[in-house]
Amino acid sequence: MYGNFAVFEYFLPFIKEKMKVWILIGFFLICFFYSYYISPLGFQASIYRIRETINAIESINSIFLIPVLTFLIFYDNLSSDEDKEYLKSKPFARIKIFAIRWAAGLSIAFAIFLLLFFITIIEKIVFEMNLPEGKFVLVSIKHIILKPLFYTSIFSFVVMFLGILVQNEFFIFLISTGIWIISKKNVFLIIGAIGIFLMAKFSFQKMQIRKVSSKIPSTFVFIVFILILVSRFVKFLKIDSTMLFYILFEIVLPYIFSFICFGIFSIEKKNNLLERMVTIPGSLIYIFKERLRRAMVIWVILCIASLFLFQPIIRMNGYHLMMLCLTSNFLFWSGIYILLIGLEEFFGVLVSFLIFVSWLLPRVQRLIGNFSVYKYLNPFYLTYYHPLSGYLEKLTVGLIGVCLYFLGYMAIKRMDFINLENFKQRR
Amino acid sequence: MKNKVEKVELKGIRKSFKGGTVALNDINISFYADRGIIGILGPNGAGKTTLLRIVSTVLQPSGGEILINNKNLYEFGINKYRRRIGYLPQEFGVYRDLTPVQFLKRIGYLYGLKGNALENRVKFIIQMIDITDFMHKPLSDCSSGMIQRVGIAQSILSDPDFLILDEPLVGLDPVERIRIMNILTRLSREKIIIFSTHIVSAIESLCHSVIILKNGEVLADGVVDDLIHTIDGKVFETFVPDTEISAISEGYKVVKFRNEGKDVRLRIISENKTAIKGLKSLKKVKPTLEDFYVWKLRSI
Repeated sequence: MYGNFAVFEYFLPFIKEKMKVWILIGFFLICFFYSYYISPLGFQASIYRIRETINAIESINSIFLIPVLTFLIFYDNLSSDEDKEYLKSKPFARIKIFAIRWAAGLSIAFAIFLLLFFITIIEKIVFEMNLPEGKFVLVSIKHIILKPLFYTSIFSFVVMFLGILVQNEFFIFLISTGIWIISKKNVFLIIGAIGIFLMAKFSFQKMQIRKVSSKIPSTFVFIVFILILVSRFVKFLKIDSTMLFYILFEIVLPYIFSFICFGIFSIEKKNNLLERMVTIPGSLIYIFKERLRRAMVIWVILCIASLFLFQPIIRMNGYHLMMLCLTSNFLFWSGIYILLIGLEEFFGVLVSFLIFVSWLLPRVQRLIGNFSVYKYLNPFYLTYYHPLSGYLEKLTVGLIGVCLYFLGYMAIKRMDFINLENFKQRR
Repeated sequence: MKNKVEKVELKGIRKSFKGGTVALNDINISFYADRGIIGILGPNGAGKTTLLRIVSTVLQPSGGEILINNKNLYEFGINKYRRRIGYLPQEFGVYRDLTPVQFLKRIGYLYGLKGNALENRVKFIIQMIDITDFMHKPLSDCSSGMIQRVGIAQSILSDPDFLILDEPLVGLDPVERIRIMNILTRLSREKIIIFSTHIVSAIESLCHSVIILKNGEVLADGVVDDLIHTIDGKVFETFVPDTEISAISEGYKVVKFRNEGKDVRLRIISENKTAIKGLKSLKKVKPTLEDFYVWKLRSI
C-alpha cells in the first residue's frame, strides 16, 4: 500500500521534475561528448578495438562523466529552498523520501548509462558496418553500465550531502569534483562515502541545515574552475593539438560559456517574482538586457583568461581562428538558450530535437557523403578537417546565433502573458 | 485623466488548463470606483487566484473579453493598462538580498521612475505603508508580515488606479492584519481595490462589495449589506445537548456551533422558523456575511 503511494507521490513526480529542459540539454551534451570521445574521431581511434574502447570509456568516466552526471542528478535532491518547508512537515517520512529520491536519481543515471551503451553499440555498427562481437557487448555492459552505476551510487551521497550543507550549486560542483578527483578508484572513496552517507542521513533526519552561502558570482567561479581544470588536463591527454583545439574551442568552452546566458530570469523564477514582473511593462526586456550585458562582460573576461590558459594550443592553431570558433559557437549555443526563454514548451522541445539532429547528421553524412549546404548550418561541422576553409562555415553558425538572439528578444518582447504552468514549483 | 482606468469589465471569461480542468466558466463581473473595496470570496479551488491573474493580465483567458473603460483590453492597450494597475500575487517573492528600500527602488526603476522622482516616491510610500522600522533590513531577515507590507508598498508604487491583491492577509497575525486593512481602507478613497481572502470577517468589515465564487462560477455578486439582508429572519440560534449535534447537522444548515457549558450553541439557517422541527427556544439573530456565505455555498 505504502509502496504504491510512495511511487506515485514521490518517485514519479521527482523523476518528471528532473526532466527540465536545461538538464535534458546537459544529458544530451553528455551523450554527445561520450559518443565523440569513444568514436574513431576521439580518443585513440578507440571504437575499432576493445582495449582502446575500454580505455576511452574508463578515461571519460573518471574525468568527466561520473562527476558531472552525479552532480546534475543529485545536487538538489534534498535541499532546494522550496522543498525545505515540505520536508520539515514530514519528520517521519524523511528517511523514506531520502531513499526514494536516491533511488529515483539512480534510475535516471541507469537510464543514461543504458543510452550510452546503445550509443556505443550503434557507433560500433555505424563505423564498422558489422554487428559487434559478444565480448565487446559484455565488456561494454561492465564498463558503461555496471561500474559507473556502482560509482554513481556511492558518489551520489557526497553530492547530496554537499547539497544540504552548501548554498551555491557551483561550489557543490567544485567541491564534489575535487573530492572525486582525489579519491577516485580508491578504497577510501567507499569508506569515506559510507561515513558521509551516515552524516547526510543524520543531518537530513534532524533537518540541521546550516547553509554556507557565498557572495561571489557563482557562474564566474564555476567557469574559472572549469577553465583551470581543463587547462591542467590538456597536457595529459594524448590527442594532437588540433583535435584538442576543436574539442575545446568549438564545443566545450562555447557551451560552458553559454551557460552564463542561461540564467537570465533565474533569480526572478527562484524568488517568485516573474508573475509580478510580467505586469510591469517592459520589465522583462529590461532585465533581459541588463543580464545579457553582464554575461557578455564575464564572457570577454573569460575569453582573455583562456588566451593565457591555453597558450600552446592557440599558438599552433592561430588566434584568429580560435576567436572565430569560440565566438560563433558561443553565439549559437547561448542563442538557443535565449530563444528557449521566450518560447512555449513545445517549441523548446522542437529546438532541442533539431539540435539533436544536427549532432546526428555529421555521422550519417559520413556514410551517405557530404551534402554541402548542411555544413554551413551545422555547429558541429568539423573545422578540424578543414582548418583553412572553415571560416565561412563558422561565420554562418555565428550569424545563426545572432538570429537566435534576435528571435529570442522578439519572443520575450511579444510575451504578453506568461505560461505559469512552466514555472510550477516542487511541493 | 484620459488614461485612467475607471471601469474593468469581464464578459464571459472562461479559463481552462491542460488536462481539461475548468478554472473559470462564463464570468461576467465588473469593477469600478463606486463599488469601493471589492472582496473575492470562495473555497479553495474556486478560481479566485485565476480570476485575479486574468484581471492583472498574467494569464490569458481561454475565452471571453476584458473591457477597460468599455474598450477591449487590446484596443485600450495592454501595456497602458498594466501601467495603471498594481498587483500583489498570492506567492509574492522579493529579491531576498535587497532591503525594502532597495527593492522598492528596483521596482520603481522598472516602472520608469528615476532620480529625485524615484527617491521621493519611495520615501512617500515607505511612510505611508509604515515600513520605516525595517527599511534597511535585508528582506531575507524580514517576517512574513513585513514582506506582505513591502508587497503592498510595491503594488502602489506606480500610483495605480486599480489595485489587485491576491490573499494580502494570509499568514498575518491579528495586529498585522488590522494594520493592512487600515492601509487598504485609506487607499480605497482614490483607487479601485479588489482582493481575495478566506477570511469572511475581513471582507465584512472592509469591503463594500463582495463576489463569491465556487467551482469557477459566480455564486453571488453585490453590496455586502444587501446580500446579508437577503437572509434577514432566516438565521436562528439555539442550545442543544452535545449528543444531538450530528443528527441536527444532517437535517439543517448549521453555520457554526460552540460549546457553552453542558450544551452547544447552534447557529442555523432556514427559510422559516416552522421548518425547524423539534428544536426548542429558537432565537432569531442578526445575519452576518459568514451566514450568507455558508447559505450560498450549501444552496447548490
